[in-house]
Amino acid sequence: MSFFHPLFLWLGLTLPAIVALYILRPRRREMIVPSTLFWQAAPSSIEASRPWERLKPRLLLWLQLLAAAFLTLGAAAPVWYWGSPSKSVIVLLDASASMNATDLGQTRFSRALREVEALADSLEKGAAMTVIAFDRQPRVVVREAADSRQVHRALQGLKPSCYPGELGPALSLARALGRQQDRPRIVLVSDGGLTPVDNAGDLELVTVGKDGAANVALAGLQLRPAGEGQAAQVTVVNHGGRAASGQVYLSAGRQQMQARKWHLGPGESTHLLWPDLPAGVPVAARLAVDNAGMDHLALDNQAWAVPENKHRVRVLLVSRGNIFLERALGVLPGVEVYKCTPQEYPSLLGGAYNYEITVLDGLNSPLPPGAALFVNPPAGEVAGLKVGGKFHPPALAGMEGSAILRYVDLSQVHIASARDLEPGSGWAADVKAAGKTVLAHGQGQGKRLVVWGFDLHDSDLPLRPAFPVLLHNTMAWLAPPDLELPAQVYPGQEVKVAALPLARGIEVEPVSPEAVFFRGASLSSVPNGNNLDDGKPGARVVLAPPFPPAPWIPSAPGLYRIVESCGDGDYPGNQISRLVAVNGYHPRESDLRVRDPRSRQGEEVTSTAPRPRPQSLAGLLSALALAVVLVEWGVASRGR
Amino acid sequence: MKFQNPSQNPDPAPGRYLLEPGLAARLEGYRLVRYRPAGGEPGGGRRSHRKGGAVEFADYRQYTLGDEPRRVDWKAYARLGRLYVKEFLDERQDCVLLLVDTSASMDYGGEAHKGRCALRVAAGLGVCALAGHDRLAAAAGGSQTALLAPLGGRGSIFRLLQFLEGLTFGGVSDLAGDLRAALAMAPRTGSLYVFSDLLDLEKVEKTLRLAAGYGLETTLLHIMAPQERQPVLEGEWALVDAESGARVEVSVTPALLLAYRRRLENFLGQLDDLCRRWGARRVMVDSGERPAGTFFITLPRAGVLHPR
Repeated sequence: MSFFHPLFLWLGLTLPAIVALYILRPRRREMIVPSTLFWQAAPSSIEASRPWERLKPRLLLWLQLLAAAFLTLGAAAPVWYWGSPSKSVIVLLDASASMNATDLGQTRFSRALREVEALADSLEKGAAMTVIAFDRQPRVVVREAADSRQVHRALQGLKPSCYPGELGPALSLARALGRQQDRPRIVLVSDGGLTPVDNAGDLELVTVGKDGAANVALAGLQLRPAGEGQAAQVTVVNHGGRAASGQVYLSAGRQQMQARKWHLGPGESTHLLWPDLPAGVPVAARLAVDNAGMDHLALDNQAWAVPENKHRVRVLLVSRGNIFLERALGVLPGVEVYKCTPQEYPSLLGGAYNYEITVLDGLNSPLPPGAALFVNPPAGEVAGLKVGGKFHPPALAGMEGSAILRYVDLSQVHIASARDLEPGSGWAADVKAAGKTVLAHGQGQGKRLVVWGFDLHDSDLPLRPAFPVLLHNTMAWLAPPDLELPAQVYPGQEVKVAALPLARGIEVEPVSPEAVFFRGASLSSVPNGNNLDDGKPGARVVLAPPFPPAPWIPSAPGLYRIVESCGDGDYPGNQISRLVAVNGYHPRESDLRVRDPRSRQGEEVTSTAPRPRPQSLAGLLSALALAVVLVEWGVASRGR
Repeated sequence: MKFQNPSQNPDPAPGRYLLEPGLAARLEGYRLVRYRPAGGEPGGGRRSHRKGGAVEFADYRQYTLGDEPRRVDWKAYARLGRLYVKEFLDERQDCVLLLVDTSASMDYGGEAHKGRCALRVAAGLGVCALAGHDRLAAAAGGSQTALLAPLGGRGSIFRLLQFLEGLTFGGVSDLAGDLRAALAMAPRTGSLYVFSDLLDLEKVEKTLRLAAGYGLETTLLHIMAPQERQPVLEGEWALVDAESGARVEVSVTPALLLAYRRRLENFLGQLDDLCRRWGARRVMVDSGERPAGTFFITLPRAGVLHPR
């Protein structure tokens, strides 16, 4: 048997206190009566000089002692393990971003480490402790350590990350490890700023942090075009329970803008606007509060934003002459069109090939380095797709969900002659006619490819509104217009970086704020970015090769640069870099209220653990205490 | 011993704090009930064993020399030829003694002060006695004994009230000693009214024995405060006896209050036994009751007062 709240055993001091009340003479009020003749109830109580008296066994005394004992044990919440109890402990140590809060005079993580060390020190003989630190992912810090010193050593140097916490994977890992032991206790040491999980009834919780911890955060920094420049909107949120005030400093490029004051009540938010910022420069915002007690988390006090990345895609049209393609490509935004004949094409391939997309009109080889659009390829094979003979397609049918056919109306499109395409592995049909594929897209040899299996001159497609839309969709799929980054990137978020068609390598490197901003935005300390994944703050990360690029997980808030190398050599034309802002605000982590993550709101904690789980005796003891108190009341009302 | 001289010039209205004028006037319409014939001085209004000149016929006897000829029953002489004299009962004055307990135990009760109640009831009965042509003496005992020599007539009411107003409470009661002193002062006393809380059974018996020895018709007016009959206490108390100073520490619980009531009932039973043994009667007077209720309801029902 163990206790959920052993500190409440101090309530056991009420037992000697009750005995003392029976030993010590009560301080009585004095009253003069005509005679004490009828009051001679307790002759032994007649005046004595000593302040105490001999303890007499009374039923009331025993009942009160029993009730106090039940209440003390109930408050300490004893846990009874049905069957053979286990002494081993698996500790889930929350290392998420909210554990950086300093509301306890130290960080919550430091307090959590002390709690884990205390658990280790209280291990019984023969018991073992496993510590799993987790933020977005769990990691075993120490496994089945029987010696508390081993746990102490393992905890040294452990620091909280900037990631949001995910309890589910850590709990799954703990249960998996627990199956190898004899029903160990699973103890979660956390401030509760986690994604709630179900079926966590067997989880013991040790909370750290003050429930009334205050935090003001920069919840967002958005940029939008405004006139010839750009405008920035900063969202400030007060997550604390008291009013707070302060200023927001903003830097646009190397220009320091005027600070804006704010004053927020509990739970309120406000939006601050800077309407006239210079165009095309990154923006940084820094939050300052008037009183340090209003803000216990520095992680979300800075925010960055970068202007939209504009990159013009270079397209090479290889054709003997196709007025439809030339005109349509020429009007596409963000596209630079170059043209060559099929005879010149091989020579271009032999040199520095700088075209992200190649449109091969009437050709099926050779494959260019980047993405390619094949229009009316001859029979043969294109990177896993077989091009068959010609047929006369009847009505065209577009495939649902095709990115190529988005907003494309094929009802008025007719094709006189098309080739039968047989998509292989990695290909997807977009347009079919009589069960045969007419248009397909896919990936072959690491490149994005689209095949239009018909000659534009054999179709009325160029005369229809669907043609420029289809071409735009095709170009957009072949070369994504941006990095496909979400609007808000926060540490720990898995970011998929789309490679440009010609990219040979992709790297991410942190940008020194001094290199971008004048001052202000970078003066305060930026979280060091320590995390459980790499442990190297500010490290340069290689995402590719191999392709496709690995997802990038930013470890700390800040400004990062994604560099894509598109050609040989390091000269600037071969490198395309884009800035990415990673902001530390996460609604769950910035809200520093201490919560119980073992159940979702409004649901009771239940357990479906296959093994018997520990049974809390608190309710039973409380009921017994209540029963004893009722008996005591009955006895007292009848006389002592 | 303090002696109150009845010849002292009384305060014109000393008793206004004991008896309201209207109440005193109503009380003059009541008389003290006496169950035995009075044996006091002549000239009163009460029946006596003695033969006298009242209108109530008593007996015949043979004429002897010296009898008044107007008392001879001439009709009997005509019929029998012998002289017989008609005898009539005599009416006498009763001498009433009021014995008030002014010990410390009577100084209790707050709004329902027992001592004040005893003085008020004594004053009321005194008014009835004086208005009924009885003689009245009074004695009070506590820290010291105070005596009021026998008075007579309505004009003495104010002296009685002045005497009662001047009494103070304190000391230990000695009813028997006070009674002995009072009887020495008023030897013809026929009725005794004791106003006390009667908390000491031994002293009460001694007093009753003494009164019985003198042939007094004794009435014990048992003064009790409502707090004594039904204590309203709770918690831890140290109770100090007003007379002996004895201290009792009690934890007042419902059980203790129940035991208190049982002891009180037992005590009252013992008092009644004493009264039966010595030919006295006990009348319970609640000091919390309104004076009009006491005089015109409680005491008439108990047979102490009777309208004229």
